[in-house]
Amino acid sequence: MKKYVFPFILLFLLVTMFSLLPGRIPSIFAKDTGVKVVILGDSISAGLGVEPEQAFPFLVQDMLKQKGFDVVKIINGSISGSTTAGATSRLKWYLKSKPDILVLALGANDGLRGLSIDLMTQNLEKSIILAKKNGIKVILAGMKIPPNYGAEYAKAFESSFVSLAQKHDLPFIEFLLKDVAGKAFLNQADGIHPNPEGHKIIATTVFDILLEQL
Amino acid sequence: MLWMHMAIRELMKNRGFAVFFILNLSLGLTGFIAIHSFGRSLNHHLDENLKEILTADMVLSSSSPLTSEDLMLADEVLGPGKTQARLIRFYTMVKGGGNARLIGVMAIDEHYPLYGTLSLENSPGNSKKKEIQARPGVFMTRDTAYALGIRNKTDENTPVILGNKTFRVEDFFTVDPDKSLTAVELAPKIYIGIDQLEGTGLIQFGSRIRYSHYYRFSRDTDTPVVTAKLRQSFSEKYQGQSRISIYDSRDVNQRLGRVTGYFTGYMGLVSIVALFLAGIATAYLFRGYLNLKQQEMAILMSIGARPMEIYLYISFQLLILGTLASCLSVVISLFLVPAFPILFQGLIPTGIRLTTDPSTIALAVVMGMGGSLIFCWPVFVRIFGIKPLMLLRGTQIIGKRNGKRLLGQVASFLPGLAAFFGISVVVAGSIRNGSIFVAGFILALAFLSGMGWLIFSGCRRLSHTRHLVGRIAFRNLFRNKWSSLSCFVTIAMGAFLISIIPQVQKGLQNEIMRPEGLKIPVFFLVDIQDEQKMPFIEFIKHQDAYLANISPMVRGRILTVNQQPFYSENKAPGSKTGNRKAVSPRQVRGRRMEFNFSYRDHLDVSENIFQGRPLSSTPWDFEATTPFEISVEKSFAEQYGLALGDLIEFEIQGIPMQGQVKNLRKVRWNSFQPNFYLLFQNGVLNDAPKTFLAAISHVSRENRQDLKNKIVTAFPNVSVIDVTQMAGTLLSITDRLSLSIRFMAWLSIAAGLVSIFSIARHEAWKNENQVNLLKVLGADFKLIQAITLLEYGFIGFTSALFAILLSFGFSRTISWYFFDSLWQFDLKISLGILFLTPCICMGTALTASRKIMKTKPVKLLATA
Repeated sequence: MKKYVFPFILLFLLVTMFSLLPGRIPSIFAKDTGVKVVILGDSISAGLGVEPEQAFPFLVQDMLKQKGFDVVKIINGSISGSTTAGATSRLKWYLKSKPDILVLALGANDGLRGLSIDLMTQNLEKSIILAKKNGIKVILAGMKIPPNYGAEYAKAFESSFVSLAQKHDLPFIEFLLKDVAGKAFLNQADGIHPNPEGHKIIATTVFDILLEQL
Repeated sequence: MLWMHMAIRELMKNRGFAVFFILNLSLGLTGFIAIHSFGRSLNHHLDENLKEILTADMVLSSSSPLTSEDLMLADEVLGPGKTQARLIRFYTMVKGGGNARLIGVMAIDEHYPLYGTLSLENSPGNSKKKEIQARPGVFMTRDTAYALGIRNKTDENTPVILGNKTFRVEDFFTVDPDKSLTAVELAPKIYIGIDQLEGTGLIQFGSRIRYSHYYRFSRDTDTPVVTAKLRQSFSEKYQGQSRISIYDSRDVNQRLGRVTGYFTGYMGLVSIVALFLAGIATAYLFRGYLNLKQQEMAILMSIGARPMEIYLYISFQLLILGTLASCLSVVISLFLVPAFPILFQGLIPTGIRLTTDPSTIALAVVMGMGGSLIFCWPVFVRIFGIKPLMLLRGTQIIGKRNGKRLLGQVASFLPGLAAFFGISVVVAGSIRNGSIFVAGFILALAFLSGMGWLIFSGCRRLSHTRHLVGRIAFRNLFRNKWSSLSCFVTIAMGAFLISIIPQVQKGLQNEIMRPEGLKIPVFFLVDIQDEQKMPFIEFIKHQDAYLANISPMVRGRILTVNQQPFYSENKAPGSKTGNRKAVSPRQVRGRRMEFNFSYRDHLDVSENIFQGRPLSSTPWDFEATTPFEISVEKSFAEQYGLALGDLIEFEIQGIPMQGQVKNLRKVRWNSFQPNFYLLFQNGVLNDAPKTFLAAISHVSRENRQDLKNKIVTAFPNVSVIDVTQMAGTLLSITDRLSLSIRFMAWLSIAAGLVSIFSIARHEAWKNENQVNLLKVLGADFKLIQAITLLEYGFIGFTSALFAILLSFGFSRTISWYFFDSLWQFDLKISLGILFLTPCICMGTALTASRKIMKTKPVKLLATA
């Protein structure tokens, strides 16, 4: 038994020293509670057609763990086919879990269904205001509409996210599907939902901005 | 060729019997031709319908353009003699008359559609399709034009802007060839020329486009085989990762595919029943004829005629009779089948071209002509194997048994069995189905023979009665045990076959037909938010429309079933029975999908629990440690191997929850109401973020566009999906199928009863000597009448009773094996058969005995 005591003490000391290194643990963790990140999205975030472990929310969680952010918990509140119309009510549901950060990744289905961009902007804005009222940091994920919807609609759609981010001074992911959209080898056969490789790229995009907020 | 001459002379001498025999035989064969031709005409009609829905025989579709190598490969596999059409479809925002709307663009070439029509208001020909290739013109419906602000004649020159290009309305289409039964359409369609896409700027990197190539083959092409071959070729080329979808008319709609599958199976069943009925009647009549000729054959054998000559002499007579009967049945069918729509107006679907099928006619002729040679062979072998003296005595033939003779007798049945099996396979459409039916038929034959033997052996005991009528009747049945048994088995087999059909039919029809009082939806509404539910209900109250059903919907995943992962393994979790089956990559992908869950206070009229108990109405407590209750739809449970009592872990909006399967539910999906695979106990999903689905019906055609606009204005986030065409197409097909299934059941029952009638008539005719003997001995007509009625009534009743009892078991097995257990007991028809069979037997026997009573005994004795 004695032969195990020394390595155990050594390991304990190493872990303790490592954890005391300045800058390694963000200030938000000092509160003694975990950090909860809610991702409110659609089929892309829900990981339609891939396993939950292959979808970007899980990958981001994994990447955070690898970086030592063990106390950060990602709650994936994404629903396939959902539009911004239900964003506020869905956020109310997740308020019960007292999230610290909200990744708002909705809007794609509004665009694909040709819904009013003004209405979409209003819905997103309501959610942003509600989140802020509850002391939640909001990361807004921008989206682009495929060019077949017409340049005018696509431009208006894209710029609505930019305007919202600017108006509310939000950390902003310019395009959630950056380097993934339109590339057949990164998408499933439907041409619109990312495959596991595509999700890895999205995870990197989201991770970078999330890390800045932690 | 003396035997030929003799045979013809013999037939001419007994013209009356020959005509009687021909009529009897032709009845059975006509029934077979009528049923099989009707079924094949319907199947052909349905095939054409499905092709029209698909607009082609086969489609290749991909989200990226097909490469020249892909098209070359398709060309190579599909071979020459095909026509092609191209379609590029996508959604875009279209501007016209001040309004911008989401529109589904269908960019077509001039060959589209390969089946069906694109009917235009002002130009009936195809010229406009060519014109829109050359200039930027669009076809749209009046409703779409209205939605875009093009509302009257003066607006018709209003430019319609697609991307960077301006189009003009060339015409309005009234019939859309694209029926799209696979997916709901989010937006109305417009048609443009495929060549006019250039310059719109809509097709570029990142565009979400569907490229489709349509193929129409020559009539003799086996489309399912070609489809399978092409799928295999693409799978090999892309090592199982092909992005090209290949589908044919069988894939038009999953539910319709299942329904048409049922129908094809049912048609096979009815055809095979008709074949067996005709076969039984044919075999019975031929063998009966041969037995009547026993004494004549004995005389010929005694005076030194060789067996081969006797065989040729008798067979030639049968061949002539069979040929004439076949010809007569063909002639009758040629007039009868096309006359069905007039004869059975309202009972069969309209718009179907009914024709007599050449292959069916050929089968009937082969059976009529060749049946004599095949079915009678065992009787010939038996007769030639015994001494003529025994034949002359007319006593029961029991020859000395030796191995060689027994082997010969057994072998004599083989040609008949082989022919019967071969025809059954052809009629049933597959070796498997044909084998199952033949095996079932033989089993039923063995069972009924055994029962008959017991019954007629028991007649000896029944004859020990004081009543004269009973004594004579049961003694006759016992003494002529083999003859009675043969009659019993034949009639029982007929009754058995016709009893199978109604049980299967009732279950199938119940599944296919539209639910009673169904309100066909016009719009399906998606994405109604929780807070919009009440305002929406209130809004619809003020419209001229009916809100059929508003159902909550929550999405989530299934994580585990009985603690085993649901989606990530190569093996399905299976039920508690531990039955784990392998799943394909496609199924694994299906398991990764999110599913829709719902809850409701009461089940909809379109669904019912068939296993387990209703879900508890007590709201489930979130703090409870017990799992909540789940109701699972039958096909979903079968697909994923779920059973009662299974524990399922879900992830609903990030929260893991556990439930237990409490009941299995059957849903009639053709109700077109919002229905769900999984229903949860009250209280589980009530607070979860959800949306609502709704169906709206009772909207007049004129008010549809107006109502749609009103909904979109009041609830801009709600997607209004027009399902009129989809519901109309599906319901029209299922209605026709339902009507046809019922009609085919009636037709087969009628054909069966006619066969029973012809058998009973022949049997009564055979009985004339006995009746005559009683008459000579001084029995009065009333006594003879009573004896005849009791004998034939007893045979008819017992045979029908055992046949119906046996048919319950068989029809249940058939339904379980071929029709997903869609079985329902049909008491009325069973009682009808039980009543009609003895009635027919007694009626025909009575008519025959009356005729005999009117004839002088000397005349009858002279002809005997």
